[in-house]
Amino acid sequence: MAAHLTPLSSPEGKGDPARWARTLYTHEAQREGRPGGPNFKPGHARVAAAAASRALRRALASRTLGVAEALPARGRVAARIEERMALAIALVRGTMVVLVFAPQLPALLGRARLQARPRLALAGGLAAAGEAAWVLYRVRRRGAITSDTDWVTTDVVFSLLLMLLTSRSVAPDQRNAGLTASLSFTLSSAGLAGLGLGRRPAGLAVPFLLALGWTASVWPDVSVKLISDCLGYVLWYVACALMGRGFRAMAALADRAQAEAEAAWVTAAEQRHLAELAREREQAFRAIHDELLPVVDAVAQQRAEDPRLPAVARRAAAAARDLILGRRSFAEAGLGALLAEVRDEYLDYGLELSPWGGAIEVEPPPELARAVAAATREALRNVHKYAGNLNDITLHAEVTEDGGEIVVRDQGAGFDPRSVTGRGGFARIYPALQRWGGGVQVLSAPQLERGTEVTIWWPAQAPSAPDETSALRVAVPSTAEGAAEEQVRVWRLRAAGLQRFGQKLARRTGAWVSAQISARQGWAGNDGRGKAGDPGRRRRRP
Amino acid sequence: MTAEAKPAIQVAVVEDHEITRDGLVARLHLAGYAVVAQADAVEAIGEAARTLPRPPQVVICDLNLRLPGRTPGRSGAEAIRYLVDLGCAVLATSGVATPDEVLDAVVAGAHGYLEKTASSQAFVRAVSALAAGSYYVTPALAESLLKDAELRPLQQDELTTQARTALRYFARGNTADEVAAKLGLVPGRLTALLDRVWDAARRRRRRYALAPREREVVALVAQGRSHQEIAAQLGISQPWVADLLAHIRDKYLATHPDASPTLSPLAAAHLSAADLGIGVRHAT
Repeated sequence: MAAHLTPLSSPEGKGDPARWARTLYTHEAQREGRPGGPNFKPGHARVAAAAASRALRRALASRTLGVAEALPARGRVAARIEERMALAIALVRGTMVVLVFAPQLPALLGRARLQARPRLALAGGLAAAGEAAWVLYRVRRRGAITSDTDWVTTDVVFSLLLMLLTSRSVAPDQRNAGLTASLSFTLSSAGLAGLGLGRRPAGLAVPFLLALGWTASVWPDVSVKLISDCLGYVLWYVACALMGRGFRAMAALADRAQAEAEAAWVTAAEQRHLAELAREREQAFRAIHDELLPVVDAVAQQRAEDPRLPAVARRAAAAARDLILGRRSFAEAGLGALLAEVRDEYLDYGLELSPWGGAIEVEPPPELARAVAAATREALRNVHKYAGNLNDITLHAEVTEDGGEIVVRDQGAGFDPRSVTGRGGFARIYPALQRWGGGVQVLSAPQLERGTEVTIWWPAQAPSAPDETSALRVAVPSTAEGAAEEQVRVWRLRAAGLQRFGQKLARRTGAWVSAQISARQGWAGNDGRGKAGDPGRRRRRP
Repeated sequence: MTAEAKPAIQVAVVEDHEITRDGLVARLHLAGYAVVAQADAVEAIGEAARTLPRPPQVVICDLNLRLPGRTPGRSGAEAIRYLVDLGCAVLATSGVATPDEVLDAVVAGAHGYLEKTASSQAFVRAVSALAAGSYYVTPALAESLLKDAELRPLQQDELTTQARTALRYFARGNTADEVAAKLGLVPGRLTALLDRVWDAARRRRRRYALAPREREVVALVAQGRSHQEIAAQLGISQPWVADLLAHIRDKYLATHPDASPTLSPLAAAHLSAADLGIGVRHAT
């Protein structure tokens, strides 16, 4: 990260550190000062939720965090929770309607009916069904209860009316039994109020109002059951209020966490983006200022006859190409940097060399990289000396776990492959490559249409040479990666051991089987290769 | 390869730098080609094609035709597509183009790409290959195609091992004939192989490149616009914006296997903007 941030302090990115400081500050302030910080208590859930959402939105809208109005007015989780709770209570309420019709059952079964006025009871049941449907519809449409207190009030009033209506439909001495069916329906009304109104004074009044209405409806058929009924209203109310509050607090926290995570992501993305831009700006600055401008100036001042100009111009063009193609030869170390150096050298000699292509996925050991670069230099030197065509030369590098290849290809006259193994420059370079198990392959006509292809290759290298340094590395795998690598090595060794054992077993078994077969077929003469248990067995047979 | 022996292949050149164009035309003349049209815009070739008995066989077309101070015409992939529709084989060329720009040209129907610094011989080889209905694959182009295949895998009809091997040979600087010989193919079969490579590149683009609408959204996100603002500006609904962002995220994750799978759509849009080089918004 630190490395990424450094370019930001360059003149081009002057304003940026201050900006990051501000971002971090806001982030911190949000984390500690307002809701959700160490002072956060579940008791302040609602206030916290509102404040959190306000603070977040303000912070986001001021674009310090960048998520802007990605969040809806309420957090996404909060909105969903609200919706689910509302739907749940509406469905409960809908189910309770069935119970309202329960008193009709004895009449349908031909028993004595409870109600004195069945039509009135039926009307009450139908009204309850209608009201439940309306509640469901309204919940589906609005998706929340808290923001819509009117219908909670309406519902409570309806419950009270239903109680009185049912009470009038039943004979006074039957009221306790006759009304019990509608108890569940009115209980859910208390739950609804608990969820929707919470601790508002109006909300607190609801269970008492319902209990009062119930007592009046049951009157005069009062029994001990009345106490448990009235308690039911209070309990439903309290349970739903607590549940709602708990869920909402959790949802607010989840939303906050989500928003923070998102903000962090965006910040990280922006930071990477800015660092990238700064790096690119720096590269462009170098390519243009240090490389291209001097050349253009020289041409503009008609100093084109300067003998150094073509070489400088070629290098400048190569640097600009690297920049545009996104090759990072500036910063790279290792084989890539060495190859770029060799390439630049031969650009100076007038070789029309495309920027080196391919990919270096695995960095070879430094000593091998130097040997490879030397061989590449030699190949290019040969192109320069013998090819006779300095155009369209390709330098291709492909280094993977399976080994590496550098291909130098020209479209020139082609040169004698014998000069490679003979006294040429390669003679000095060969041993260095051979030490790593590599070599040089030269193709020219007739294998090729024209020109020469020099391939410098080397096989896969062991992670490191088997000396005391590797022993040390095995003993102390410093990183998780090292440990993993070590584990893989151990597995490989085990697999190899297992394989050897398997081969031995197969050999032995094979020998034994063939001995058995030959013994059974009565072939006295065996091939005579040493088999420990065989002679005895053979002796037993005639 | 003398000028007389060659059938007069009809070539056109589209290049907005006069100096470069004159140089190229002179080199083509020298190589024995009939340069039937030269212009600074593809539309002019369209005009010229109407007066000619048949459209030029090969058009060498610069990828960047937007010199300042000129009426803006088609440029880049759009220009290539225009020429391909005229029935010409197109050789794209440029001072220097990013691999993405080159691949865009390839997808638009260019059968080859050469940098302007390439030698006359290279241009001559490229033009004859294209006139013969084949492709001209430079090492750089082969490499771009290989990298593209690695980065944007296809679900079906992915490049065969043979096609990859062919591209690898091209990347090392082998000529088409050499590649065909190494693979044991007759040249016609190599062209068929390259047809499939081109087709795969086209399908890769279709699958992974951001659609124009998605690009617009990315640009607006990079400017720090909100969902609402983006929806208002593009004249679409907010859920639609969310959908587009989800697509952008999917495409980003597909091309960046290292990215976290929990990356949010908005963050993915920011990262895509960085990849596309769309400017970061300024601190307020």
